[in-house]
Amino acid sequence: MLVEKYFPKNFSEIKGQQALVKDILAWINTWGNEKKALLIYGPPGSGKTTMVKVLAKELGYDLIELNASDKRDQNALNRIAGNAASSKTLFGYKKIILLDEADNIHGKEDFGGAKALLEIIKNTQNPIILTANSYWEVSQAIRDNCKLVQFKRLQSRTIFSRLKEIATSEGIEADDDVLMKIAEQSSGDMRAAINDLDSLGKKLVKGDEKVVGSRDTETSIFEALSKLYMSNSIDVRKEFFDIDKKPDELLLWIDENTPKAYKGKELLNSMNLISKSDIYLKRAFNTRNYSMWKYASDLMTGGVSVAGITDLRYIPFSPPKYFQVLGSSKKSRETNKIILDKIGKKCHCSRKVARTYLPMISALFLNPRKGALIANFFEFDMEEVKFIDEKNYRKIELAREELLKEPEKKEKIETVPIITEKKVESRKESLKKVEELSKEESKEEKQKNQQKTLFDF
Amino acid sequence: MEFEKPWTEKYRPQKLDDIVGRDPIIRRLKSYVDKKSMPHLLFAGPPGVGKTTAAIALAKEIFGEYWKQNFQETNASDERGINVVREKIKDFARTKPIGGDFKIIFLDESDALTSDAQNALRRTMEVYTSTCRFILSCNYSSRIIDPIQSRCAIFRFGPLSNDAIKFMIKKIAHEEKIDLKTDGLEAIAYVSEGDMRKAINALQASSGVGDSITESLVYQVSSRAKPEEIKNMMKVALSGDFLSSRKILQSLLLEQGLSGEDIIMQMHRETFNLEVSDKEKVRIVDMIGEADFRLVQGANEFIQLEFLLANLSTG
Repeated sequence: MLVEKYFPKNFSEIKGQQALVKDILAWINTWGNEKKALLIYGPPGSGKTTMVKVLAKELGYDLIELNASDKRDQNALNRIAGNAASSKTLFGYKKIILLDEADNIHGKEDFGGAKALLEIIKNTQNPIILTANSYWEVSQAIRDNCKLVQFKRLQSRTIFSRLKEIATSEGIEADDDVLMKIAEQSSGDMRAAINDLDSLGKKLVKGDEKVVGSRDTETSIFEALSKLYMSNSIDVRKEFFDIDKKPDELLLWIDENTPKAYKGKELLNSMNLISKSDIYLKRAFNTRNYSMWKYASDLMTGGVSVAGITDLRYIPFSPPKYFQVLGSSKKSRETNKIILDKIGKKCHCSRKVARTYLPMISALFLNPRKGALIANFFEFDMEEVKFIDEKNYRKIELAREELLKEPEKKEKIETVPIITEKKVESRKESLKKVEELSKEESKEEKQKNQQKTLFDF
Repeated sequence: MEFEKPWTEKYRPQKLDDIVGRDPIIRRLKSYVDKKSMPHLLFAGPPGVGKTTAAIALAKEIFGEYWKQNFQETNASDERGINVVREKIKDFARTKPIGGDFKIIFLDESDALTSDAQNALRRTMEVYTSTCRFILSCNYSSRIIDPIQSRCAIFRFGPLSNDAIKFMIKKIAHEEKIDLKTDGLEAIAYVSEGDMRKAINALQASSGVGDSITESLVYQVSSRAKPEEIKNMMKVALSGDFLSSRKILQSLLLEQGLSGEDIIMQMHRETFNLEVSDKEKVRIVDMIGEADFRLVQGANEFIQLEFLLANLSTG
């Protein structure tokens, strides 16, 4: 295999990503000061894994690899990377841990894998390098804990010159034209190009490249999208065959970008098709009859293409905001949920019904004292108060502090009339009330104690 | 720590006799108290009409001081799914009643259970029937599977009458020493739509804003209650600005966590407050109906509601 034979042996043999070598070297040489993990993302064949392997070799590190083909659930990750990450090596070698295709750690098979990975990244004693094809498929938590390096698609010229070198040294007779065609066809994937060259034999003539041209290369989703909106044909659906995205995700990509390309009736018809595709996806999911995916795919690609045509030369495509928003608003949704749960618990209702209390609560928040009193009842912390009313929360906070200063006084006032006023109440009942009050007091004390421990902690 | 309860809790009737506007139902429930025994019950009706209150009051009267030990409240819509039935409910059903022959499990919003979960529930009801009674509450009894319905005595709670609402509101206003004007009372009864929770919340919200409760104050406060953003989203869409309306949708659905069902319900309600022709309103209702239908059929709420916005923005 030419790919293995001509695998780069040092940095100078790595083509096209020279500028990034400096960044990566700087990261590893100062390792420990900055982020403990490096995430290299970029299209297939752009040299991500190659770079890591050369790096380990040149700097004398042991490379510990975990591929996507290995099971990467919590246990497996802890066993391999966990050990490698924390223990020192036997013979004093330094180690690098390489986690290839980190974007494929998810789903049911790798249960707990993403969480375990995050822990390992945070606590590692050795440099960890992750590679991924897509930035978006790596969870935000992991991205936040990694230094990011982006590998761009290789240029055809770069690939061409490498093909030429290999051809010369292998004694392959080939026209420059043919080599250039192979380079172009590979869409920036060096590995694919070298494999193509490998499969064409010792003597290449014009037209040979077409034999390998049909092989599956991952066309960029952006290219496929521009074809979708700039043409008007159901055949556009074929452009998406090679795109490695599940249909529900692809639907979100198309959903995100369609309003940028189409307006008016064209947009409406497209949104209708997108909506229908979504319905097919649900049907397929519900019946577990995934062959129905094809109808969804046809409608969202070919269908949307036929629904309109754009005269824009350039459309600023972007990945779906859906995941981004869902990710970045996670905290606020959680706070919202906690608030509703607190209301629901006290008012005997579901979150849905609890939501109907919010307008009343925010009306009371307009009055700091009343706001403080109701906030006390629901046991909202200040973050939750702020979430409900960002404008008035400071005032409510002050009012609550005021209330805290006078709790003893209040309770005494309430207990006094029970003892002095010898009203209809029988002794038994008043005794009961006193009991209840003392119970409440002890409860309060307990809470205070708990708080103390919380603060101590 | 000093606190103030929401008045829905402060004035929640503690005895069956204190529940207003539900006489026939209360009579039947009281016969269970007399006999100290009851079958499984199914309470059906819209929110705020006394289902939970009746269940708690019933438990208090049957069990007396031990009511808390013998009564468990679980919410099916928050903890949807079969696990609630398999674990939480079963665990409670298994334990022995204290000071009585049975205990009561109150399962609120039980129509939110999937049919699988309902079938599991049916088994639990059968197995533990000697020690445990269920009170299932739901908005629509038709969403409860037949085998469960046939095992329950069914109680239908309709919306409360205006008189019942007014009686309770007047009583609370008196206790709280609030200056409640006649037109304010009428307004509260009107906006409540037979929902006592809504009525009491409207009163308490109004009392937080102004000193005397007048019609205009009630309307001002209850319009605060309407999610203005939803109306705004519709307006933006109708003006043809699809992209901006989509941003609002994103915030409502993904950031604020409203459900698609909530949003579409509000949109339907707001349609009649829009400043467009009646003919246009008819068209909008038709579009919302279609979207509601697709919401149930589709997988992604965002995509389905987005189509509705596209529809609105293309006149």
